[in-house]
Amino acid sequence: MTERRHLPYGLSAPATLVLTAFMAAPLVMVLLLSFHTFTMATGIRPEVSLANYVEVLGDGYFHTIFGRTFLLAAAVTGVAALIGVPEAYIIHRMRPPWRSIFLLVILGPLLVSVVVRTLGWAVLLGRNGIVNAGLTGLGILERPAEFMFTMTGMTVALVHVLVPFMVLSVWTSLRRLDPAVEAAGLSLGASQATVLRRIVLPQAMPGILAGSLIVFTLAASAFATPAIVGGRRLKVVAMAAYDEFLNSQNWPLGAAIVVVLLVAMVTIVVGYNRIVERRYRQVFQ
Amino acid sequence: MAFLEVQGLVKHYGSTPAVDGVDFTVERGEFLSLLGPSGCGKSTTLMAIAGFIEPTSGRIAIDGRDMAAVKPNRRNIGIVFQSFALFPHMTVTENVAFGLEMRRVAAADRANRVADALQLVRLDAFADRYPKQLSGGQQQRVALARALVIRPDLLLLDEPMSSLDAKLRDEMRVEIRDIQRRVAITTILVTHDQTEALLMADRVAVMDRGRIQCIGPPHEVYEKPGSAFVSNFLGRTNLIAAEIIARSPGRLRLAVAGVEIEAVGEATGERTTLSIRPERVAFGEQGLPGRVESCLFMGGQWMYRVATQAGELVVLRPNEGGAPLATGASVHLAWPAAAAHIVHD
Ligand SMILES: Nc1ncnc2c1ncn2[C@@H]1O[C@H](COP(=O)(O)OP(=O)(O)O)[C@@H](O)[C@H]1O
Ligand SMILES: [Mg+2]
Repeated sequence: MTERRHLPYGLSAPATLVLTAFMAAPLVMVLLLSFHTFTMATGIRPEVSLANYVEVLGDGYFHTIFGRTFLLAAAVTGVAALIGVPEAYIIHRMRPPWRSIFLLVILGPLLVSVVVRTLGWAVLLGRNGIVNAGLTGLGILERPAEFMFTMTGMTVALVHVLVPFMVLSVWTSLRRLDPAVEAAGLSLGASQATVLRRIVLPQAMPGILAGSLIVFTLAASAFATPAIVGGRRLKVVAMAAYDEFLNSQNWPLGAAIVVVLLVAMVTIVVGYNRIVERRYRQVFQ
Repeated sequence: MAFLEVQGLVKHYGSTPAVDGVDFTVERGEFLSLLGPSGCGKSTTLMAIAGFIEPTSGRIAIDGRDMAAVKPNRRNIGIVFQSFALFPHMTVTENVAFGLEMRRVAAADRANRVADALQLVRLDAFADRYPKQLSGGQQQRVALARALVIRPDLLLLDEPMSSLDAKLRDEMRVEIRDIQRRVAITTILVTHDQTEALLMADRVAVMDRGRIQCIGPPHEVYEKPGSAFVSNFLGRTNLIAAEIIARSPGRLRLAVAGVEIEAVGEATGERTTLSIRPERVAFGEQGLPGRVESCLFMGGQWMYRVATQAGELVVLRPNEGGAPLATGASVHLAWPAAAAHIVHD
């Protein structure tokens, strides 16, 4: 009996060790680092001080960066849900051979490096890129629109990178849906649209929630895509931390930025989770 | 003209027919059961009537109105699905009210009708529960209330009892039958359980491989099955080969393993097959000789297996309190002429 009881711990020990060594330990070190001080003259000093947090939380420059990052992540999550949920439903309703083919089409981009895909967007969205050439050529726009180094451009590129996570997560929850439930709704006199809104959507909520959390956290901590499409003009938090670490050499300040981002994200994720789970309690059980 | 008419219904999946020319009618207020083994096309027939499956050919009319161009959500049909298909994110009340909401019934009227429907299925105390907080039998009654509250023209039940345990199943059969009588709604029940079909329906249609093999009131279908398939599927039967000695209208003289007997029915040729229900066979002084091979106690009855020249026969005798015949005993088997029916393969 005792052997049985210890078995789960034994089985999860390797993963625990790996996570402790490569995740928990660096996190604790970053946390400690964020309380140290730094000056150009002295470098990093192992004193305990809240100066870095005072700077991050009090400086308007950082407020702008955090606000922008939040807006970007929220916009990306919203657009990804608008595109991903119908896409997942269409996949769900497809017949066997087509379903796997289109799932592959959706997952395919995940096999290509984020940097390559984002550079692709840079080519498409640039001043002389294909999108602008098309829009001006067709006479829809008089002058090329600015996509590069704008929030719109960053949102478009990030949605493309992250939408597969939304599709997969929603599709997984749709697979648990009893097909007879939709038929029941129709037989009771509901239109197809009403069935989708009143019956399918609420039951897809767990998937939409999970997908939103994945997309939001990945968008909020994204580095490569904002760096290429947004550039230095539209800094996000991950880039600000990168700059403190590598350009200013101010590691403690960079660490404080990272810790604030982490705490903010955990707060948002947990809060959001609470609200949606309470609202759709029955679906989650 | 019958209330529901199904004529020449055919549904092909690829080149294989799932339903292969089904005709039947259901009168207003009648309870018809579609009985057949799994995969014989019962659900396909039902879903074609509900409008979820487009027939390859054939005609379906309700109250004289052709349904071909009518969408499922305009047919006014109540359905209880095998899985019950309750809306998990809605309470019992919300589930039952859904159909009324879709029909834009005013809120006050809606509340009354939902309350009445829940009372009908004895679930008034559970109005605010969610489906997952209910037992299987209660969930089924919610599904029934949800289907009935819209006052449908037709009630379709697709194997509604198959996910319930045996005791609950017996209760629900009686209960659903009572409710059907009380609200006098035209009903089709699909089942692969012969007891259920015989017990609940006014008429039974036995299906096999996409066709209806025979249709009629339960006792008639049971007594005069017409084909070997039906007699075997509807309860247990003894099928024995016989030689035809003489014919008179509606009656035959036959020889079974050298013993002369009489049977009801018509047959051509020299040989035929007889179906004799186990409960109609009795032990007697004369008749087909045999030897008791085994004897099983079933509570109300004893089930004997008797080896004869015509093969092994099953005999059911009521338990009258005495000891059963011993294994190995020599017996003679006899039955009334009206109990022996000619069947076709
Ligand atoms: N969507 C479908 N595609 C292909 N074959 C099907 C489909 N639905 C049912 N069938 C086939 O049609 C036959 C009848 O099915 P069904 O009506 O569900 O049988 P039952 O309800 O009597 O068990 C079965 O052989 C089944 O495999
Ligand atoms: Mg079926």
